[in-house]
Amino acid sequence: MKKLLYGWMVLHLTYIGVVNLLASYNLWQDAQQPRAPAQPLPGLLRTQAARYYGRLTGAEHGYGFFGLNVRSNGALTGECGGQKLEPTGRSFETSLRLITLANTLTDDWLAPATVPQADAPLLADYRALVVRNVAFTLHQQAGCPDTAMDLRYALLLYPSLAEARQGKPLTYALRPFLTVHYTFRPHDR
Amino acid sequence: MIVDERRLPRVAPALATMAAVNPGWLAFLRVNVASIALLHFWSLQPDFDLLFSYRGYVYPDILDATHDHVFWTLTSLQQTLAGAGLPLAYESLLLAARWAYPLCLLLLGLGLFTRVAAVGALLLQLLFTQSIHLYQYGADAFTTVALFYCCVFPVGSRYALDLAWQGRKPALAHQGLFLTWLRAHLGLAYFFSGLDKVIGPTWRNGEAIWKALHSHAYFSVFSLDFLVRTPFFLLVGWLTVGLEMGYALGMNYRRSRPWWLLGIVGMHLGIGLFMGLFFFSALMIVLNLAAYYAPTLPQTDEPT
Repeated sequence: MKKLLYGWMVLHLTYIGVVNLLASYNLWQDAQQPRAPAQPLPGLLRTQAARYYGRLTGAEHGYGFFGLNVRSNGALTGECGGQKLEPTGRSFETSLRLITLANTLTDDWLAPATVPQADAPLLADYRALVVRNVAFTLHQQAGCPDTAMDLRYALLLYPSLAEARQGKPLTYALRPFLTVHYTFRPHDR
Repeated sequence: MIVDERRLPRVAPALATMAAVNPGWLAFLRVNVASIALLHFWSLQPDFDLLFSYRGYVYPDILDATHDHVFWTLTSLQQTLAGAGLPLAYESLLLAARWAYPLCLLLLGLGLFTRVAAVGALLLQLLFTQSIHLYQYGADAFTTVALFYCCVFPVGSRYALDLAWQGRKPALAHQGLFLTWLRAHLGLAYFFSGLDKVIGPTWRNGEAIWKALHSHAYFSVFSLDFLVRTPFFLLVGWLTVGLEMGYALGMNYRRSRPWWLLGIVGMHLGIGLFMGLFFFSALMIVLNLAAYYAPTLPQTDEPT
């Protein structure tokens, strides 16, 4: 029993080590040569069994939270019939998760070359669908009488430490990145 | 046999010393992981529909479209059940999971049907987090890891209701191995977290800390902007990298352990207080205390 447990522990920790070593290598490569294709996991760890194991045990996760660079933030805001709309939650935890969603979109928009070329148009369509869904839910939540609304996606900018030291005012600014105009017909509902 | 710790090798968590380990660390891990996961899930309740239902910002089937299906999402589970002749409305499945997950966590915390509750909690936690994969962040990953260890380790062997009706305390034959496992995992996690940070320039010049503190809508007890012209952000960046990369060594060297543990707990308190990542911070503090503090507490005559 003890030998079995030892073996399991060694395999488990090796899995974690390999996943993280590769993640670090890919980060390093990205820092040297941005947009270089990422090194995939070894074949053994890409088997269905290994993927199930990694998902069920949490061993598949890389630990580079905020590693290399802290993610850029984005904000989704809407406007319908002159009314300002923003996806928000009643709890702080939900707000954190909505920021995560916006950050995921930001990452995809800022680094589109990190997906295989063939998948890029499909992913772009998917992002558009996600944003449209957010717009539709905001429209419904607000009970907006207008059938049209605008949804804007903007990058949130804040002076860097170097800029702050040079005396740049410490205020947030939104750099418009995308504005989409939607028209919801009654049968959309 | 009385073990004189001073005569043992100072580096490496020697398994030989595990005989002196307080087995209460297993109960500490179980109760705290279950409590944090329960509170984390509770914190989502006011907006549960916005995240998981077809009244949410992103509908479940749209979220499901880019999922790798290595594990079920609520949508794919619904389809699997329908394929097996058990058609169930999405909202019914969501409601069942919404009640089952906190129930499993409650049972796990109390130590009642501990192993079954831990497995149930792990599967349901994965079901929920996979269903909203676009909203996932670090706290979810570490909750999966912590619940997995609650499934594997004998966390119900002390201070558990199971023991009341079993009428005996089970022997803890391999607790040294389990403790080593947890410590090694934490050592790897922190090392790679530090390594990833030091690869880029932003953690080395203080910009990463500055940016993290000014992320959109993050909570902060007070602004640290008044320190902008001091080397504070540079030092904190390097301190973070040093604490993380040196974790395995610092935590397993007897003399540096209390200071390193204090540093790591302080770092996570800082993440909680100045970035608002409360659940992530709480969970990491619990994992660290379970691995390096609770096992060192003096043993007393324990009640079951």
